[in-house]
Amino acid sequence: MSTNSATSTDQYVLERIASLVHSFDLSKITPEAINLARTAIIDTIGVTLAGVVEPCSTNLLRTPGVATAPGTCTIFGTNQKTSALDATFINGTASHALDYDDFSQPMGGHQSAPLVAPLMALAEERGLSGKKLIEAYIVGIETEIRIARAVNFYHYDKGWHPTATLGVFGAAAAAGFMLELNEKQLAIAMAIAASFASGIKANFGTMVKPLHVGQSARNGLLAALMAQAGYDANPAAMEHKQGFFNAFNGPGNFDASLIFADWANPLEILSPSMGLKQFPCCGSTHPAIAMALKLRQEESIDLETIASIDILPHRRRLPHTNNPDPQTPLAAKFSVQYAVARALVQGAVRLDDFEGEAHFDAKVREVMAKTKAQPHPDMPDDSPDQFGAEVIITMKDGKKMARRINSLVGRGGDYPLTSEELWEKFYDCAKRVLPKQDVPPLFERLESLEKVENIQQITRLLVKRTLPGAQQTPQYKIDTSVDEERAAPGNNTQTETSWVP
Amino acid sequence: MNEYDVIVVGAGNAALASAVSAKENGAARVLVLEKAPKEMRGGNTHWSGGVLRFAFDDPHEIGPLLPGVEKEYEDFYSGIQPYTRDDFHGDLMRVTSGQTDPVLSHVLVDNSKDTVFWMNNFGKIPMEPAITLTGVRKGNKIVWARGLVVRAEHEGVGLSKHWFMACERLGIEVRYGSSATALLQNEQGHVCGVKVRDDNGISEIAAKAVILGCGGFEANVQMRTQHIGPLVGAAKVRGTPHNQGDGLRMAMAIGAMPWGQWSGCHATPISADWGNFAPREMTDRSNRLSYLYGVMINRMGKRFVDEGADGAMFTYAKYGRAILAEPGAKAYQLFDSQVVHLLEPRYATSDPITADTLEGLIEQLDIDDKKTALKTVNEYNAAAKHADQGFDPSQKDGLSTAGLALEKTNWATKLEKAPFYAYSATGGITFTFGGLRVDESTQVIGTDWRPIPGLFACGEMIGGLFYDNYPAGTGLVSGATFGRIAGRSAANLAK
Repeated sequence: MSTNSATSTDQYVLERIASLVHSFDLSKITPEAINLARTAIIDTIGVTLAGVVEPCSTNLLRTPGVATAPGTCTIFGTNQKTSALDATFINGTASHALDYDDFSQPMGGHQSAPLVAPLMALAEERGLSGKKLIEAYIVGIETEIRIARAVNFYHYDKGWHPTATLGVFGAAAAAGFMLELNEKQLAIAMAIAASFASGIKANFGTMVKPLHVGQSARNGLLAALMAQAGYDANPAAMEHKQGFFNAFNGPGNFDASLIFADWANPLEILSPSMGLKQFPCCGSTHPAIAMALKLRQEESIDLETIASIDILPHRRRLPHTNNPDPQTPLAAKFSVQYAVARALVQGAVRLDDFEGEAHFDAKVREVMAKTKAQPHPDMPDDSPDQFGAEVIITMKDGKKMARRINSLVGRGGDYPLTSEELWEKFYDCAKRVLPKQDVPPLFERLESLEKVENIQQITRLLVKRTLPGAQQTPQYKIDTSVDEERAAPGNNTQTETSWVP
Repeated sequence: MNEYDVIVVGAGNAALASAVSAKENGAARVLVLEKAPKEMRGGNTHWSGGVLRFAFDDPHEIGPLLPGVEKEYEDFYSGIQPYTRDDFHGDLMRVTSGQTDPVLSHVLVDNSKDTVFWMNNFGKIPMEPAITLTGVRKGNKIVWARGLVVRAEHEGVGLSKHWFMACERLGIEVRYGSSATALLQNEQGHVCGVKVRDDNGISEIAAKAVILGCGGFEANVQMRTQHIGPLVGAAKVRGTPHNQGDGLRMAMAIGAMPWGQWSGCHATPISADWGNFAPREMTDRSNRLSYLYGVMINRMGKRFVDEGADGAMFTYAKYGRAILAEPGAKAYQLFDSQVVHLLEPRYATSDPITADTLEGLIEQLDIDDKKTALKTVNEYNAAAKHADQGFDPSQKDGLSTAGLALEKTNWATKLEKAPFYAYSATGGITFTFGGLRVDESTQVIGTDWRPIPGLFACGEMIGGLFYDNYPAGTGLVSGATFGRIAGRSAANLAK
């Protein structure tokens, strides 16, 4: 690696990126790229709705001075509007609240969370189209993952939180693209972003982890807006001896040429090394859950007549998920036995399976008692595929049924989430805050996002609407309790239905 | 020759039921032509509430449609009254003043339950209790409106989606952005295909039979004005902008006979803030049907209907048209703080105009004669009652004004508790009643009273079922029933 390999031209790194962003070849955005971008954006909106009621979001909203700026941008799943910056701050934080958002292997983090919140806010404020949103998103993905290729995994191992420290560049580039900044402004925006970059892994496991993401999303947008307003910054902020590369990674620990080696060729969005999380529990349990669901779907299994269930994940997946008797919802997220039993009983694994007393469900416990988890004998420790699992069900009459997958890091690449699976996850997430009956039209509209003329058509469905009688909440606070009011007849107990088709 | 067995024009509930049925009954090659692009697919079905009215003798017959319902609702069946075929047919006769087609209405009623089970079993359309729409809590149990217990899961959006999934599963080809413009006939007068306009221009597609299931003319301003009148001509469209009467015109161009009430339509009070065509993502949330708890005034500042004549279900259809007859086709619904919590949830899709005084409220309204408006409200208040004099939103409470030229006969509480709220309203058209004459097999009949071979119709295109009004939840069941029959008839012909 060289500390100096970026200067193959006279331009600074950020100027070169700015030029590539500015003249981004939109003809590269194929239907497949649109499809992948749309799926990721839908998924991110879903997990944001689920995350807006989590403490990292609600506590942030209660902080004096946060989200009080006037504006027209929706804080998802609430009836509150604020500035694009503030909406991005909250929505960006919420999008990572449950760690249920998509991820990228080369980024060593989550590629969509820093992008979707600022782009949605900006597009809502300015009435931009779904097509523009998707293009800007793809530009943002390209920028942040290209930079990641230059700094990872030294960057990650050193203690930085790449979703935040690199996501801020993606957010700045994407927002700048959406704002149609010129080349110079784009370079300045990213130079400002370089000074905003932050996020240390010491705060993982706390509310600050998702806060990093909200902060980087907001700061990326802020950088773009400031550049547009005429702010200055050093376009050499990456390769300067006290710039981002040297300060964050240190001399010899990055290779800036990798940013430009294959820029958009092919697009990063097409990379198979990105995945979506299908289930709201530890990723190490996912291969086994997927196989359990496959068995349930493809074989008619009577749970009563099961003799035993062998759960055989890759050995690296097991130490932290081998828990036959989880006592808390959090422990249940790290119990492959619970997750597999839940999948077999219910045909799905959902958010509320990790809430309250769900992990003590008698029917699930009955099935759990038949499970035995151990490392798979034929999945070697040194295999490049470390996310495999096999599930073998033995019936009381001796019949055995098995399903095996060798690698399931997430759903993507050649094993994409089906439209129906995406819907199931989205519905599960969105109905946490939105009235159930508002979710299908929202999803249906999102499914043709690239044809949406104005993002406000989407955002008005992300509002938790209230009737006048219910508008009593103070401005700086939002009511984030799960509200069934709209789903039930409410106070209206008229004998004849007031509804007509 | 590249010939299809059956071509279906349209892609709503009726059309896709016919496509699925054609396939089920042995048609090998079935083609669905959807005029709308994919993101606007599915006709009016997408906008519907998904409720399915059907006849049953014993409430337990519903059970298989709603797995797990007994666990979800305590004593579920005790809140459901039997709804026999006679009940269903009686409702049809009552709301159409006895005008419903004697043959077709019996086909509809007699097949209604079987159709819904077929949608569920063969179409794999999941169902759910229509709790938010027709279930009313009374003490510990839910009481369900008669005959209206079941709806498609996730309402019209779910229904439409599952029909398209069924098409995919069965290998039915669906072409989007393909608009049928004319029917082709051979020398024997047999319909043998359609002329199509799409992105590639104009072409002809051959088929052994054609099913028209592409709706009425509610989105066509010229046809609305011509057939229903200039007032409804000005109506906003609640559903798809693609129902322009194409199928009706195509069929009549080859001699099909118009049938039913061409001057009739289904129109409801909706928000006047909406555009001329309802935004797809807001489905049916433009409805403004809680006027019975308030007062409606027109732009001249006057009341024009008895808001409390009956429950909304029995007045909404005529009040949509009533508003269209007022100046500017606009009205305001006024409420005070003692009733505003009773508004149905769809009101939350508009921001009301609010004020702490009635004067302040009226001042902000788009009303030509504000002095008269204030006088109207004051006179109403003088003639109305306090809520504690017997106001009961759960039933017709008989709380009536006394002494007005136009009384409000139920729920007549004074507008007296601030703040006050105003919601705009106009009339929105749902669908048209006029259609084509068909026989029991849905074969289209010509103006010479002879069948047109090879041509079938279903859904809103069938004339003669509805006059003046229709019982809620009937449209989708009628669509699927006649769609299913059309598919079978067409498949048999194609064999």
